[in-house]
Amino acid sequence: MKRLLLVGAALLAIAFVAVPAAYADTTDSTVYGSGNYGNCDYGACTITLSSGGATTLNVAPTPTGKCTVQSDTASVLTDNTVGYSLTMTTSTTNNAMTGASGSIAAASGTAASPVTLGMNKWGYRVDSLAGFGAGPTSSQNNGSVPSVSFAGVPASNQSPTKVASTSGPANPAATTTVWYGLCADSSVPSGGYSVTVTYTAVTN
Amino acid sequence: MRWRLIRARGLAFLLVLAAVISTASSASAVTTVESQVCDDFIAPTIVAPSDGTQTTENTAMIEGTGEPGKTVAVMKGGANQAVATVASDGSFGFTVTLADGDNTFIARETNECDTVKDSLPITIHADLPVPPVDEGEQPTEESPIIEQPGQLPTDRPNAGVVGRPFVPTPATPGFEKPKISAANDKLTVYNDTLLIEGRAQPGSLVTVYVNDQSQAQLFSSAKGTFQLRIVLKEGKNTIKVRSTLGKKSAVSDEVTVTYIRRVSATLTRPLAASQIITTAVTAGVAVTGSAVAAIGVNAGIHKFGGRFKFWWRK
Repeated sequence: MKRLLLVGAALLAIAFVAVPAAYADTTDSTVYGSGNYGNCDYGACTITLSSGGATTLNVAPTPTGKCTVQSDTASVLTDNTVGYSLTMTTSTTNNAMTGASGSIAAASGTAASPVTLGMNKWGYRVDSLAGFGAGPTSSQNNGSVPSVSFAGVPASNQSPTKVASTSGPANPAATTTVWYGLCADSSVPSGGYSVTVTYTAVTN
Repeated sequence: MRWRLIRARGLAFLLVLAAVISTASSASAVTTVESQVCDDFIAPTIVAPSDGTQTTENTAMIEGTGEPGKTVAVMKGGANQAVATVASDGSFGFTVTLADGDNTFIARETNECDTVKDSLPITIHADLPVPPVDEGEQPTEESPIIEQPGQLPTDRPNAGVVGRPFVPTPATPGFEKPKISAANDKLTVYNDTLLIEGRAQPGSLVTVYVNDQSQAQLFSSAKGTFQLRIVLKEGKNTIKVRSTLGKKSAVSDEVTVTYIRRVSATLTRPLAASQIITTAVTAGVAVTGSAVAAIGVNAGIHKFGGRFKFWWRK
């Protein structure tokens, strides 16, 4: 009976396990051989992502408008042998910055076809990505309309926009600088406005 | 798919074939993009005393104008000398202490977006007797008040303090209790700004509370006096000051001032052109057209039917 149970247990060892479930070494077994048939080394198909948490775009508008540009940094760490993709959307289906006094719409451009940041718009850009151009973008407070182009962050019910990707492991972590810009003229009511952007990093 | 050949304890060789459904790993992070949109505002102006004023006093009343509701700081050499809220009529004012020689001041306003606007500087030249004062040291940035050896310098007026609630603290025994002297208790006024004077421990930091909310900070002079313009809310206003020097402090008695807002008549219904016609004071000439405003002019022409009647206000 005992032998029968052991045979049954051996058969159950053919298991289907979702990544990144770990095949941890135990003291109960001895490894005689291992291999990789896929993207991850043994027990290494994990990914971590962190960002700055907040980007502040304060602006004191004038009748002709003022613009502020600041950056955020997204860091991705993975040992996945074929890399990762980093995308982003806003956290809700409304991609405007909203506040008690009103809202500031997202820029109309896309990563493939970004536009000059218009008045009373906010947007993002990543230097050298897609159609954004090399830049380099620099931060500014209450300045003139930036010469570099921006795109709108897609809403959560739209296709996420890719902001970075690799074809190999990112260890140490790979960082991507995401620039956010906002232009406002005197027609924008004073007050606080905000929008939450969700970055998602997925192993390829 | 990953595979491993292992030997399990108590078993012979066992091929464990781990078929892996290769679902991708993912991670997410959020960042908040936030913006404070601030109204543009006018830079403050120091209107008195004028640049180049000479005095033999060790204090001066700085009067100026700024954006109503904004906090204004008067600075000397980069250090705050006093902070206060600009009144609804755009005025502010408080006393500052003077050191012997040239004293250059600017007024600075800062908004929620950390936009800073400075006034043009003014310089007051003080010819003070030597020694300058005998009641105590002056709170200048060059010689911060050290009440006793080893004690930290007195805090400086701080714009961040404006708007904070009053927190009662026990008075330090022996420390001079500040007193509001110029504003009488139970006073009724018809302007929302009020000049108050008082006495406090010389060189101490005086925080002024209106309705239990801090509104201004300034130093008491070397003679123990202070003076500033405060902003009143409509109705009853309780005013008190806290004097702080090092770890010692005391709070004045409260003074109650009632502000009654004057009601002025407002023309809400525009008069038709056929009812009142205004003109520059040029008697005898009837102005036709659509002029409708009659308030504030001292002369005009009424039209009664087809006739005009000239009038003027004495």
